[in-house]
Amino acid sequence: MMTGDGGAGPHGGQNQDFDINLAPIIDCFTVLITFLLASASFLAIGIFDSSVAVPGANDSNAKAVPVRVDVELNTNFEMTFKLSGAPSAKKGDANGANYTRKLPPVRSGWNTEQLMKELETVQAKWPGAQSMVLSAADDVEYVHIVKLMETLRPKMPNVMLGGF
Amino acid sequence: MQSFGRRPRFSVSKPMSSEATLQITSMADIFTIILVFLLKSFTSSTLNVTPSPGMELPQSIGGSPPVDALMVEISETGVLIDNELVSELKAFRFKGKDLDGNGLPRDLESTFTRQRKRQQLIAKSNPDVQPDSKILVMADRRVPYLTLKSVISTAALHGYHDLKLVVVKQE
Repeated sequence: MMTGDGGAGPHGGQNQDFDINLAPIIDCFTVLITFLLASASFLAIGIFDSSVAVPGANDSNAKAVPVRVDVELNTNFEMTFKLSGAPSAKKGDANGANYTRKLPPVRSGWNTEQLMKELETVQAKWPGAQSMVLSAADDVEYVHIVKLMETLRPKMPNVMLGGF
Repeated sequence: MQSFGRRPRFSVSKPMSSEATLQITSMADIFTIILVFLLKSFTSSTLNVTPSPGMELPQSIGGSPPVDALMVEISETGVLIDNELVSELKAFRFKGKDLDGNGLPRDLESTFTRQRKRQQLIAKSNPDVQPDSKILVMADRRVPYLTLKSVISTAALHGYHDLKLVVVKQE
């Protein structure tokens, strides 16, 4: 909207000095900003990719790498690390044999440092081992699973949920 | 007499105009910036992932942007599929009468079957669309693994094995 006597009409003068009336624009902006602020969600949502450890789902890696890594979370912050499918599983061969290890809790929490070391050992022998199966006891809360997945992500990008 | 260039102490000030005009040009500038920022953040997230009131999502540093998939929400009181209550929970656990012989929730099974059939029907009529294996799991941080296991194993039985776990990004 223009005010003043500017304009190029036959009866208007030639004065082009006019002011835009900003009041209705401010009104519109106020309504729009209020609506957008009310409808906006300030929660930043992220997604963790995972899959279900069932035959047929994401088993391309399983063909390339013979070993299978299983980690189970128990209720008392104890973890069970299990390596299976190692081809050179000779009797007394500690590097090649399948094994199961209990990882005791540290400072009333999960012993993630020891778990990372175990994974490093496996990946040093089988560099293609990039996936593992994570399961938990019935009472273990979901937040612990997500936290562990987050910790393991740099070392083990493909974490499948199991224990069915 | 030496003059110091001072204003006379008791000078008569100019009478103030009773008509004060507000300079709203700068306000319009600020509003424009806020509006552009809000519009940009509003349009960048096309997917509406809003947790139910009272739900505490797990927090995480990482995480990729949300994708469009079948949404399964597990709260303290129930399991919702695409914002529709499917099965009731009591303190994050399924009631015994809702489970079948295999320990899987009946209502959830029938809903996943219906959703899968719906996807297959769409895929039949439109060859560009394929039945999706993705599923968005939005679970409360306190959900026990037993409940989570029941939900995701039921989903996996119906072909939904590509899990997308919804977390809140930490700053």
